[in-house]
Amino acid sequence: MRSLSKTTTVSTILWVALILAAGQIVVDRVVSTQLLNQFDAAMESKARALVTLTKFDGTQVELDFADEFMPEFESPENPEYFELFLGNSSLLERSHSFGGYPESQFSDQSEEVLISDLKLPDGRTGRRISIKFVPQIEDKELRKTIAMENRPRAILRVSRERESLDQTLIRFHLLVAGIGIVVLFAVMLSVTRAIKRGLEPLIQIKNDISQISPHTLDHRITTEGQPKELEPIATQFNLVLVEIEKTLNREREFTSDVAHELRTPVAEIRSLAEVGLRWPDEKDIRSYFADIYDSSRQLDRVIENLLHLCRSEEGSIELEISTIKLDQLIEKVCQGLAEETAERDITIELPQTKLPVILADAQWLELILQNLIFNAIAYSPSGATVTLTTVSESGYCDLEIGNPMDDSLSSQDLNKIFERFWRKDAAREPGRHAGIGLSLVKSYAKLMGLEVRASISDNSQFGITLSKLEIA
Amino acid sequence: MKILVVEDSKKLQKSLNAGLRRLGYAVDIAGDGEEGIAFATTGDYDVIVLDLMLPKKSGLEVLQEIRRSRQSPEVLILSSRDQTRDRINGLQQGADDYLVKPFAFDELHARIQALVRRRFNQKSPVISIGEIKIDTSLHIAYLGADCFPLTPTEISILEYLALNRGRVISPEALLNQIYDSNSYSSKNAIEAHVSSLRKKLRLQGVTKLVETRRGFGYLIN
Repeated sequence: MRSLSKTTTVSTILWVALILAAGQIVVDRVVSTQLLNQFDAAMESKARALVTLTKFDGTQVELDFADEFMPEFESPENPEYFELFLGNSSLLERSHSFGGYPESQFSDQSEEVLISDLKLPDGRTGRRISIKFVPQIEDKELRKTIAMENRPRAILRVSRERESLDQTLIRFHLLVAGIGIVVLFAVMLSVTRAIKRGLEPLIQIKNDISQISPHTLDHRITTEGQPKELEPIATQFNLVLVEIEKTLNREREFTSDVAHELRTPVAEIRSLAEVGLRWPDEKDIRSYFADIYDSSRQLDRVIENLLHLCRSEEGSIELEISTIKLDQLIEKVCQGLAEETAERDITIELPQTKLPVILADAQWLELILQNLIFNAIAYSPSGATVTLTTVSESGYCDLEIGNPMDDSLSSQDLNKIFERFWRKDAAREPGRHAGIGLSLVKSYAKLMGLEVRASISDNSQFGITLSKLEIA
Repeated sequence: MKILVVEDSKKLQKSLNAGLRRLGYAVDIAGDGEEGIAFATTGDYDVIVLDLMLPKKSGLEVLQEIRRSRQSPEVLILSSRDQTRDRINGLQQGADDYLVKPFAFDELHARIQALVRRRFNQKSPVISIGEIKIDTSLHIAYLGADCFPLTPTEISILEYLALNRGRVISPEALLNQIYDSNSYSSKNAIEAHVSSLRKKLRLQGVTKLVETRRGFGYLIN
């Protein structure tokens, strides 16, 4: 896997090395050229001195050279050389340092000054300057009489070793390279440390994140002391964590509640069956069968509701919109709940007005009404009246199902009653309400584009209104 | 032994009441948290079977009230909440055992028996007094290897006196342990059952096992 730290370090060091190398090459070139130029300039000035000593007296050319002033041309150690040629290539004079060495080859030149490298007679590497010039005439009168073109031409060659220069240049190259390596090493160290320090907050975040698992979702990334570039990332991540934790806790609670809703009727069935089987002579044994039947219906209802809830929340339900006679549908639902209604001595008061024909999915609307009317029956005190009323307006119909409250609900509770498994009291009225009926209603209504809201009137009448039912 | 069942499910109340009575326990039923606290803090129960999700007061609130009271019954939580944190919480709040719904009735019975043994510092379900052995798990009395017939009330009296060996148990205490709160039985009924028990023991050749301390009650030494 690509390492951010490694990539940044390597690329930074490479760039620094590249710039450093380019800088070193430039410096090396400039300094080397400068040294060579100085070397050449010194050699030229010496040669010019010899040129000034070369005179023409009208008949011959002479070099007025004195060894004592320029001993380097005489010294056996590290000697320098000069040769003076006349224009016709004849050697006029050369330094004693040549000793017995043979004459060098003469070659004419068009340039006035020519500098080149060569092999010295003693075998060392050297540098030579050749100056083509016209020897001076000291006598003024004579100077006037001899025209310039009639004066003899001469070439002076001065050469000296350049090995010391080369060694100096090599030492300089090595120095520059050494400084480059040291600087590069220092840069590598500082870049590595700087990047490591710079990435520390990221590593801190990575360590924080590595401690987060489905079981430790309460862990948060440290935002304090984070650089301003990372602080918003850490804050946002923490916000996402909070949401994930909430969702997961909701799911855990849901799973736990589902388990509870399934276990309670199963426990009742099992316990009744075990005791009934063991003591079949129990005096009210017949009521055990009725209780087992009742618990199995409750279990069936919980399972059905859960399946509906899962399907509606998955969005895997396709609606089949058709025309529905609302009065017939309500009647059908009430008939289906006749047993529950009779058991609690509830009266259902149907709307007095003629109900409209509406456009909806019959199956899902029936489930909504079933849950709403069932809920009204279950939460009314025994002997109460559940009232259904409708209001038709602007092509839509609103249906309200109202009942006197058995439990004392507050207005704050109204926001919670559509939550899954919410109950005012943990009390269980076996076989009656599993706490998911209204969440199903909410889910189905949303699916059908309907609105559902709860209200409490001044006379403690609880009501749920299903609105936006489209009139056909 | 006297058991209080605090459970809001009418069906579980019915089955537990019937089953535990048939096993020889005196059973009282409370249908909500407040009723549970009232029963538990005033009655002398050996074991309380307590649901957690109750109307009016939760099971844990009931448990806290019990532990604050002068009563010290063994408490078995019977709940459909099966998460580890629920069990830990229940046990840390003072429960002695935790059983998850749905449950096997026999397992509930076995756990109640274990709690009763713990209450009376009995490691074994069999109590030996001389030649007499009383199996508290099967509610059977033996003389040597042979069992001899006793009615559920007689074996309950024998078990309770044996578990409280060396202590004088008043007829009122026996009445409280043998019958539930709704029973109208009197001290006379206890005396009649003790008399019948002695007679059956005598027939087995066992005399003076159940002694009478006149004016105080009964004991087994």
